Amino acid sequence: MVLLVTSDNEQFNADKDVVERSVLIKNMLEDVGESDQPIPLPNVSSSVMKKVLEYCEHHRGEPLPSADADQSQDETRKRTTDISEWDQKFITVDQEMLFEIILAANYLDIKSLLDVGCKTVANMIKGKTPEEIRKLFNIVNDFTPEEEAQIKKENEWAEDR
Amino acid sequence: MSVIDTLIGTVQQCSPRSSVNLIEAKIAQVPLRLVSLPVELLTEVLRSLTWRDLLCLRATCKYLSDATKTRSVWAHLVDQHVSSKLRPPLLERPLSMHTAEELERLLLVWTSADIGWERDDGRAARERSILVEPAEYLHLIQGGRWLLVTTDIGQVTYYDLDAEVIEGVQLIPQQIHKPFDLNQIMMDIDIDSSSPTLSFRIALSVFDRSLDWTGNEATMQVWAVTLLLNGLRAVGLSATRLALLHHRFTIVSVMALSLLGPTVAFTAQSNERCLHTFVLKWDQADGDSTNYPWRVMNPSFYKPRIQLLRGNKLFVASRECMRLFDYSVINETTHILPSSLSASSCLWTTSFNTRFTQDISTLNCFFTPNTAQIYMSTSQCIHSITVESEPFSDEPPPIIKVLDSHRACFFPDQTSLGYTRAIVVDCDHVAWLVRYTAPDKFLRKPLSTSTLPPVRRVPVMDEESGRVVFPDFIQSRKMTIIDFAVVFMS
Repeated sequence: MVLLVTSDNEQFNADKDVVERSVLIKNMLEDVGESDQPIPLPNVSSSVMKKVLEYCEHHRGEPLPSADADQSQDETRKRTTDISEWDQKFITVDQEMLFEIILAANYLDIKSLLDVGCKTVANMIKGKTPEEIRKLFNIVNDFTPEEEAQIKKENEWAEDR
Repeated sequence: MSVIDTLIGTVQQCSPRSSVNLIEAKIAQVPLRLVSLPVELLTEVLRSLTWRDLLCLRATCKYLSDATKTRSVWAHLVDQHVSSKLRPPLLERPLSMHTAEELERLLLVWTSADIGWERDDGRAARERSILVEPAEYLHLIQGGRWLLVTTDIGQVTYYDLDAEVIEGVQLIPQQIHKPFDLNQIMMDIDIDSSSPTLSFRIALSVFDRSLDWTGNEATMQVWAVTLLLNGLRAVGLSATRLALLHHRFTIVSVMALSLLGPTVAFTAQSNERCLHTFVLKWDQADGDSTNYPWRVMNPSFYKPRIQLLRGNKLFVASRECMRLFDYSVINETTHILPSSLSASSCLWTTSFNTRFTQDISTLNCFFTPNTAQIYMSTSQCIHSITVESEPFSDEPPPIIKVLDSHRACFFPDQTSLGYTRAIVVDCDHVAWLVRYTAPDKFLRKPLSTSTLPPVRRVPVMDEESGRVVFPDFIQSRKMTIIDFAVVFMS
């Protein structure tokens, strides 16, 4: 068992093969060797850690992508923007949690979770008009009217048909 | 950093003691949003989007607009586009030599061309006119940027159609002393799609009869053309002659020419009044002597169109039939004509259903990894045949009729054949865009007829860039360049 401490000082006990889905933690464990020392994770809050551990628990035992597999990973990315059913259910969270998970997955270096998060955001953007995207993500339009007119003119041909 | 400094300033003014806690609270209150993702994570998200989604995202706010200009996002899309096509577009330079903006343009040129070709009104997005050298041949190199104009004295001039100002630059100097009716030039181009930068070869067969009776000059030449680079940018083309050989004196006229790699094939009338097709390795035949070895095949009476295919194959189509030869089984000879021709080199023969009264006027071949897709226009039809190279079959492939002129009424010799579309010119000199579909079912619409002048000669087209070049009906040196793509490289 490995003891993790989150930014809000909550402690989590988890199996080694679960937490080792995080390349960051895996490397840390390798560096410190056998030890009962808790691992501090100052960039992850307890609510996000709960979700991340849920993900790692579900995917435990699955092969990790190797570091030199960038090429083949790109291949799989090409083929699928779709997300497995379980992952989809798992990632159905409010926007803030979604972005928290993405940041945590990036920090903890969990490639597959980062991928699920980013694809989910991409799927939310897909097929929407600029106005719909702004509304969905609470984006403030900071273009001047002239800039906006210019962009609209440039993109006119691409409007969906 | 500066935001936090300001925050500290404000907070300290109102409540100096608990400033740090307040800042944390203040920062924590701002919910995490799409725009608070760092660029590298945003890029991860953007890599799953389509070009159209990216353009929409660009119109939302400045931060996201900047993120959509990330190089890797467009490199990924270009890569995806290229690998999704059976016949991928040709890149003139490797991806690594393109800027982010160039990659974006490239992808948007391709996609907007696809949309532009399908427009119902057939109108082009841009139309320009240039004056060129008097053209005997026109070639638009795959990618649509480089137009080659060959004159009746064998001078080849290139025009950069993506440039702000389009000017002709000589690529190959004149090969014939002066214009004369009995001169003859044939030209074929072989693009080396495995080269990282644009590279192609030109085969020129030249008969100069403008010299007085002291002698004809009849040569076959092969030129290598490569991209001129200035740093990472392509600024022009340059040509070097790889081979020059003299036609044997028995060859009085070349009717068809095909170049593929180190091999050149041509059909010629020899003194015997019969047509033969000759295959030779141009890289072994350079020099003054006319003693080079060649392979002689396919005696016929009708003028064929020929196309060299991979794996030592030669496709020959005439009005009577289509044949595929394996020329490697024919012995090389230095004789003008061998005493007997072996028939065993013919792999299959297949015939059109119709009897044609005129020869095939145009033949175009498009290579995919395992096939050669060949289109031919005859006096009445456009036909297509697909020769599989891997695995090879002894059975002749079916001939597909893609366009029947009973309804189209076109001039077959003024037809430009593309991989999925053709430009055909009808009896009123009006140009039509035709999309190939199932046999005998084709989509046809006029090409911006409101503005285009009637066409005098064969237009040239490049489907990837959505570009067509039309020779003017009245002014022979005027070319109209029309673009169906909405986005341009310059």
